[in-house]
Amino acid sequence: MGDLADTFSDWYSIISAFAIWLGALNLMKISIEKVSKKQKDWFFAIATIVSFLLIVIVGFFFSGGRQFLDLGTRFDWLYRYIYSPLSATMFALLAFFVASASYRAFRARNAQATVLLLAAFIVMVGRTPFGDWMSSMLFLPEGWRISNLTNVIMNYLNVAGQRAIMIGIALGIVSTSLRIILGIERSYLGGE
Amino acid sequence: MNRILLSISLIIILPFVVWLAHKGPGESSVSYPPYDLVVMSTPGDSAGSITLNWFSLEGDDETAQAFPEYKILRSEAAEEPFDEIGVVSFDSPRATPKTRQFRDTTAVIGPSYFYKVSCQTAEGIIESNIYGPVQSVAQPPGEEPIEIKDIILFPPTQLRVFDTPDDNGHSITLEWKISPNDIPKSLMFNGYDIFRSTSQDGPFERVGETTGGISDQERGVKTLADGKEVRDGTSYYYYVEAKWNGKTARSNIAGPVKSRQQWFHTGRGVSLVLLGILITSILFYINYAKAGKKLFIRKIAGLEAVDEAVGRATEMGKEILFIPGIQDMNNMQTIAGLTILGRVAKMAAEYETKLDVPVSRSLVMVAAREIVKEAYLNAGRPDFYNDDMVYYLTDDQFGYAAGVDGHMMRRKPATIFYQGAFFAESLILAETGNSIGAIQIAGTAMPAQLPFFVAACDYTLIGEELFAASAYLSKEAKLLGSLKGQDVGGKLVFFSMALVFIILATIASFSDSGLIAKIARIFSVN
Amino acid sequence: MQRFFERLLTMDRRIIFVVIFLALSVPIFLQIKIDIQVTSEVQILYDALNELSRGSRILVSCDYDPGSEPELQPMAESGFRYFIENDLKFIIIGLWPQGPLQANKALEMISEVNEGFVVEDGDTLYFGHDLIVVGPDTIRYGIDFINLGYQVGQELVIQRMGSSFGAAFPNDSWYGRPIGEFSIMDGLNKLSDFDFIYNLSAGYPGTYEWVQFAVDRFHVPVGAGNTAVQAPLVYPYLDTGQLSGLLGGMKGGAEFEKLVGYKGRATLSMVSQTAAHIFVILFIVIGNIAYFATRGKQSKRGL
Repeated sequence: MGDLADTFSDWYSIISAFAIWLGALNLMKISIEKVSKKQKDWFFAIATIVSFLLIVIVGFFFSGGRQFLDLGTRFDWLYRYIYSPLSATMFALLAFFVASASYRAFRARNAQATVLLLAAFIVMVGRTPFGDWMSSMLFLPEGWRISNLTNVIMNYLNVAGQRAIMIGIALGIVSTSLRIILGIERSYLGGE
Repeated sequence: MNRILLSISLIIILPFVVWLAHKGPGESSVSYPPYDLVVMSTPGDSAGSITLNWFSLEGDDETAQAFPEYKILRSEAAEEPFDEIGVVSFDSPRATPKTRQFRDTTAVIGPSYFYKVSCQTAEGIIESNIYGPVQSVAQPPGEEPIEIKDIILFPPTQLRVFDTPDDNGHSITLEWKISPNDIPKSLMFNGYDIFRSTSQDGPFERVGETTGGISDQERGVKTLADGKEVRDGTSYYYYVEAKWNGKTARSNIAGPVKSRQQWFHTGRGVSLVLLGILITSILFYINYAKAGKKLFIRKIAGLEAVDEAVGRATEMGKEILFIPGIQDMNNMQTIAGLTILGRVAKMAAEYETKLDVPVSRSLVMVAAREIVKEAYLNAGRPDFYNDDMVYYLTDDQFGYAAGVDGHMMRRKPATIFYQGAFFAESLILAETGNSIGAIQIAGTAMPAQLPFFVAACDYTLIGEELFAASAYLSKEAKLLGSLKGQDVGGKLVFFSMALVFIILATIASFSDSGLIAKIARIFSVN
Repeated sequence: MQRFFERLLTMDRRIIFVVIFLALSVPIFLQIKIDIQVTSEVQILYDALNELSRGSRILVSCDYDPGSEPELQPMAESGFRYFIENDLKFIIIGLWPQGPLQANKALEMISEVNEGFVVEDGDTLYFGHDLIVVGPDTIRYGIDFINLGYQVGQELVIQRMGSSFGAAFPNDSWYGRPIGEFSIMDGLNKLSDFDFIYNLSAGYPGTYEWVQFAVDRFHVPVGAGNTAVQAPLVYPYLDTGQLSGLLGGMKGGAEFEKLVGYKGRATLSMVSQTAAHIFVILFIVIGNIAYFATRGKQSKRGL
């Protein structure tokens, strides 16, 4: 049975690897169509095509080194100086969006929202050295420092909530899986 | 009344069923007879002598102020009376932090000797195991004798081998008591080599190695699983060799042992019972619903708003953007999201509203196309369907987020659905959608992303509400029944049992018994 | 005044973006010293690593991409430093394609010599690649560390490693040679042969999967470093002992750097993070003040 499981794992890995081409070719097809038909915003499609071909061609044919992933190869250069900064930039957007979303959405509309706000303040402050500094300024006793309160919130209140959500999600997954296995749920195949 | 009685009986009976199903802890295979005495002819001593090594008794350590002396007893036969030949006092230098040594220089070359160690403690006389026969052997001339305080390499002992439990075969587990020289962070101890043979007399071949240290603190043993070309049904013999400063010391030979497959993982009995309860409940309520009984489901605001959201896009003449998450088809959330896509696509087809579905996985693209095509067909508008409505962007998380954001900023959809598994890109997408004024309905079972969606979207399906969407939107009896079964069999039963065990554990914590550990172990998955 | 609060409620988000940008960037140029207190979850991980004997082999799974580099890369760098200084051998893999590349970057970052080469036993060994020099210690590829690269399959890879490590990672990623040719892989036939797993995770597949498979099925201790968003989710595993320690976000990385004795990027970035947190809190407070100030007026108007 274990060998069978290993075989299926191998098959999944192979299929996953080949499936990437399915999507990539579709992306190229749509982008080329956009360019050839001069549809709206077709120049963005050019950027897509150029980026795709650049990575593929350099990676396969012109990377150099013993392996294309080696340090100092052209592919490595593309990874370090183009892909990494772009990826980091997109992730960095979160910092700004968190601030704007917090400003817009975090309102003490009712008692529960107020409690949530207070907990958020304590955790945000307690997770930084500023919290320790504030605790010493306020002469809070040992065990009642902001970082201690943060630990209580994270280790008890947060864990309780996370566990409840995780249990609910796990039950939902088991139920959905059972429906799919029994054929009760067929809509994901396109049927009713 | 019947329901109450049923619930009470479940609360009482089920914990016992779970107790019966759980697998208890393994018995410690390594015994610690007081001392665990090991004796050998002293290496490097041309005059011939015998060295004894034993583990110090409890209380005899470097922090102690005093401890009774150990008496060394010797005999020429195991059954004859033993004579005291020496003592090791508390102040004598220790061989290692945990062991004591004694060199018997009165042992002559030739006869065999038996030894034991005795100590008069406050609890009475504690005697060690008898070790022997051992002979004093003269070492070749020219070698320097080793000082008493120097460490002699003592072997690992009490090697035990057995078939690795609860596996698919081809594995044998070895357990042994570590060599006294195996001290944490020792610069001279170099771990253990494992030797194996199909015959007790050899030849043995080296099949693996491992570092020093106890691997199972609770049971005090070093454990290793040998899986190197182990054939099921073949008998094997093993010994373990400690390596120290270029020297080696061998353990006892253990065997024969055969590996074999097990059909069931006995450590997962509890999981089987709980899963059985859940599945039985789901099947029961599916049949209950099929029999025509009405089932109540509370309103889910996010799903009630789907109609309104699609209608808004239609009125504004703008498109609907549907994002089924960034995970593949093996993720249940993606499947749940695609189920909702089917309903949304049908509505979009009926209202002739443009629908766009950018995806992050190729297999999801294929599945989503089928779903949307089928939906348009069922709505009687196959002419409105176009394969390019569902298109692949990239597998890369932030590349996908950038692509979808660009789509939102350029096309400004009126309605955006986020239904599936999301990660860090969730807030990037939701905030961008918010900035263009779209109505946004999100649904995910990723707890980390829920706060972001709640903050940025108009409606959010939280956790299992996403999985309930299919049943909720279709109102199909079988699907509703499975929802009810999941709630009763899952939450009601599990939380009832959890409550019982929490109360028991709370009581046990005041009574200082071993019950807490036993209770915790019941639900641990092995 | 009322008008002011109403305008405050509908403030252009770009103002918030500019303030956050300044809060993050200005402290980088200021020499502010801050004292970092070590939390229990980080201490647990450090103690677990301390328990390992010399020569123990650690599986390092880098499951993150450049987007999570600010949070997880310092954990990789300080982790590698600790392994090298304590003579712990490490085997690098990745369940994310970019993970092993990030590990390469981390090694290059901590190596004090990145140019030149030596010839040993007929092999040309390049500093910063085959030889990593950290203080008095020099480690060699194939003997003290190895990079096996990425394998597609997500959690199925972990399952595969459980029965046969070589089947999941047959070759190394730097030379493409069978792993049996490298002495560091001696005796490592399956996952349970490892002494510890050090997982740096930014999402899926990640710590969840390592706990579900490596800990629960194959009983290998796992210590994890997670992004700040993901860390709260794995606290239940820490609580039950399934996880042997947790580094949560950049603060966790800074605490680990303090324990290891290395002032890395996480420590240096803590001032910026602190400033950003403070300004987010200020914005929330301002927003609530404006909300309550205008809410009173709205209720008077009967809205």
